[in-house]
Amino acid sequence: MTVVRSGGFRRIAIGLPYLWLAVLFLVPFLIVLKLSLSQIATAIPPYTPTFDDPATWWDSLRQLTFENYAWIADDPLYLNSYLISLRIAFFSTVFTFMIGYPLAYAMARAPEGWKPFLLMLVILPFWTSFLIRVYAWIGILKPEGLLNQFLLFLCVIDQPLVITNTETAIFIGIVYSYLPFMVMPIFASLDRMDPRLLEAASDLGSPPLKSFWSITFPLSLPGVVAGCFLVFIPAVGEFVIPDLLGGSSTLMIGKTLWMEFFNNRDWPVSSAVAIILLLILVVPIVVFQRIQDREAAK
Amino acid sequence: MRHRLSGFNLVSLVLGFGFLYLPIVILVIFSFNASPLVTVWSGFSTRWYTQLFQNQGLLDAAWVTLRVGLISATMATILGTFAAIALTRYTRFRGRVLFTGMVYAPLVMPEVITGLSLLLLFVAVDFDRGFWTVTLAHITFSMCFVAVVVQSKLLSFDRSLEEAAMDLGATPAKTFFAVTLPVIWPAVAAGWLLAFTLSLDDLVVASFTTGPSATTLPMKIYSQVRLGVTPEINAVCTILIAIVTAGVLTATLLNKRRQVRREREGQAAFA
Amino acid sequence: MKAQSLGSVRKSFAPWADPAAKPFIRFEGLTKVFDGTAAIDDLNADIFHREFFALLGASGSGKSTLLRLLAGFEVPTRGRIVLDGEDMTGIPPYRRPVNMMFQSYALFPHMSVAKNIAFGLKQDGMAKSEREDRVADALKLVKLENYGRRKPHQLSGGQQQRVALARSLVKRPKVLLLDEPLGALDKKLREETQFELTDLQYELGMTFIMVTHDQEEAMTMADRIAVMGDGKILQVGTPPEIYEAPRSRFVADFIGTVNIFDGTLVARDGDRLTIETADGHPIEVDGNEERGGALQIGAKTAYAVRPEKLRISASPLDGPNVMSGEVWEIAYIGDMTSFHLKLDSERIVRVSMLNSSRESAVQMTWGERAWVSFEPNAGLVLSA
Repeated sequence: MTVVRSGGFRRIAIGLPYLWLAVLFLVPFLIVLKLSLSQIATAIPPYTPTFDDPATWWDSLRQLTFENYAWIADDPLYLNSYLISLRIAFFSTVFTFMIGYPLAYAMARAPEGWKPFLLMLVILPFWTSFLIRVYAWIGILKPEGLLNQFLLFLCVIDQPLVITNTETAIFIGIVYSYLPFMVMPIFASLDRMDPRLLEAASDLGSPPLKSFWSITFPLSLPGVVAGCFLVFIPAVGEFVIPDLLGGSSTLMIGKTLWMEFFNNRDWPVSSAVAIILLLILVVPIVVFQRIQDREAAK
Repeated sequence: MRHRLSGFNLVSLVLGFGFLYLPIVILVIFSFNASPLVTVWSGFSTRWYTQLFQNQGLLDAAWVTLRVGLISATMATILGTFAAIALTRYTRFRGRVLFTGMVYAPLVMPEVITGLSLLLLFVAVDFDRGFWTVTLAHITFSMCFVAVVVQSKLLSFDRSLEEAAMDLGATPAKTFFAVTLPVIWPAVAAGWLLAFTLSLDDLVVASFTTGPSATTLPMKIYSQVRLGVTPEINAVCTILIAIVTAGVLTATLLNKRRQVRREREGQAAFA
Repeated sequence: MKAQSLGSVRKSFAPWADPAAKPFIRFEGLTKVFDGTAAIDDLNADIFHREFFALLGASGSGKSTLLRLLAGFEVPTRGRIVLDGEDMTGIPPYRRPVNMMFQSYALFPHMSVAKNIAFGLKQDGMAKSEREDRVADALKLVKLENYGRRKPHQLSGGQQQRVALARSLVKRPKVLLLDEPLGALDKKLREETQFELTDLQYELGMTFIMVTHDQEEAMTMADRIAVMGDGKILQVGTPPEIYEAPRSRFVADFIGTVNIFDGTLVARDGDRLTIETADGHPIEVDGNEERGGALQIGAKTAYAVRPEKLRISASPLDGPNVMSGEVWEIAYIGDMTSFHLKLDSERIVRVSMLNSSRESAVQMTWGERAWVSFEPNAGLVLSA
């Protein structure tokens, strides 16, 4: 579609957001990249500015250093928190799927009149504060919290379970916070499905459970894939949940970056951590984008 | 379709929604607890709410958050709507690939990185950190969410409406304000609401980009939560939940009512 | 209404036959390339003032692109459009003296019917009182006087169609572009509207250009039809010219149904030709001087004959062009019956027979032997 090239409207519609994102997204990102290659200094801002003066550009290029990356590679702390992040994100995604799929399925099979209401019930928590939702779990999970009180009351356990400050708490937090992201796309793909397909399958002699695995589930796969990516990608870089529920023992990478920045005030190293985190996320993001594009093209 | 919900599905729904809502319900209940111990119920009381309104620090933070939210949501809606138009209507311009990337990247960018990079920018240009830096940061990431919401509406929008307007003599700008905007209005409003709640909710980016002069409500809540669960925080959270729930419900009901009215008008026309 | 006078005026309306007539719209070497493929390919055509011109073609033939180029929604890759002596190159859609009626009607959903119609006038800065008069006139023209305050979704499909028409007419454009104007209407309503539209066009004295894929619609409404294929105009002509004298195999095949016999010219006796078909039937041809005259003996050629020009009988027929075969398919349509006859060479010949008496349809049945014949001047020699 070629629209006639004229008028200021087009220039504003493209130029304004373009300029904004260039200045406040692209440039900051380049600064992070540059800083990750700079040396630490104790001054404030705590780094030696590299190539600020165009005249000494070549000079500063030689000052660039991979020291920060070498430092990260040497210290098992960083490697560990990357691995922990990936592991926690992966298992959280699996758990979210296991809880989200039946919920999405039940919603899609609910009477037509209920659907808008159920849909709103799923979306509503998404609008309420993330921080509050994570906070709500602290009161439930802590040793003297409601869950332990309840279980002690039922005599299921005789000692309070230690859940806060463990990975279990992080799993619960992530599953809880990201459940709508999993449910929505799965529900959408299930709801789109033509119910006559199942009638056809049963007409051709397939019992319901078999029809589920041979018809329903394969057709809902695009939604499953989208949901999994929507949970996995943000979970890797998550900060609030591991910080509030995971305690000091579980260092996910988002929290490591935060501590490196606020506690150690080592800006170059935290920049390098950020760049590596991004590099790790680029692969799933690109894969996800490809899949989405292919779906959209259908 | 005429079918009953099977037992399995009913259990899924009850457990699923129970899981989603139980923590919030408990939080709300305990905000009315008389005891300062959060986990032991000792009678109904609104003392934490009254106490809340005497906590100047909290009120200041709430005021900052509200202003940041209103300004950033409005700016983000304007910029995001333009971005959505650029993405759907102008398929050919220089640097379109870069532009598309810049719109989508913040959606998946970990908050810690967005916060860190913006802080480094503000330091580099020696911009005084505080209210405005937080606002700028919030505009930047929430405009991308607005862009996605509005874009999906624009994609399903019948292009011939715009062509008809131009065919009848309206310039592109006039076409936008007279035809496009009124039609995509629900999506623009939804985008604003999304941007506003994103801003209201943000802890990480605000923590990076703010200065000593401006503390947002999530930052305040966060610092107190780290010290432990208190009934006062429960009360703050309850108020926030009530505001957001009321907002979303109102928006949904208004939308629903408009739909019903349209349907009724349509039926009346043929009656 | 005034069908008598209308018909006689229309009969004499033929500016395209007049070498002195000045074209109102002229396409000059018009080309539009989308992603490397030409949607419009070096197209030249003239359209005259007050003409009802139809662009007929399958989807992808380029007919809609041509309309959009004229409206200004697309910019030509090469060539130009001249409208009433004015070069349209570089003029944006909102400054062109043409208006379009969209296939989807494109009624603004948030505006009332009256506001929709007034929209174009408002863009011209017309005073409110004058605008209201014009809108009232337009509503009257399309017989929707009392519907001005309705919203588009409160109207039936036919009413929406008329609002769209009123909206595109109210600015009194030099040319009205109609993109499948009747496509969304059901069959009965479509037939009524066809005549309404042609009468309206005549009364307003406006030039109409219509895009359609429906040949019946094009034949009923248009003064001239341009058959399009692959971004080119394959033939321009009045409806009878297009139907009875298609210039190519494609046009003959596209308009209506046709039997095409491929063969070789084997004999010539004055104007009378003999073509032997590939399966060995001799066909006597007459009345094709223009196209048959240049053919050499032995040249490959083809003969096209429409099903209604064949006669079918259950008993042997006399005459020059007789073939016989088995009745393979019968489709009883009501006003006529359509037969597929399978010749001994396996070739299918289509015949349609007017059911002029109530018994004629039931005389033949599947599997029986039947004979068909046609006059030497019934068909047309095509370039092979």
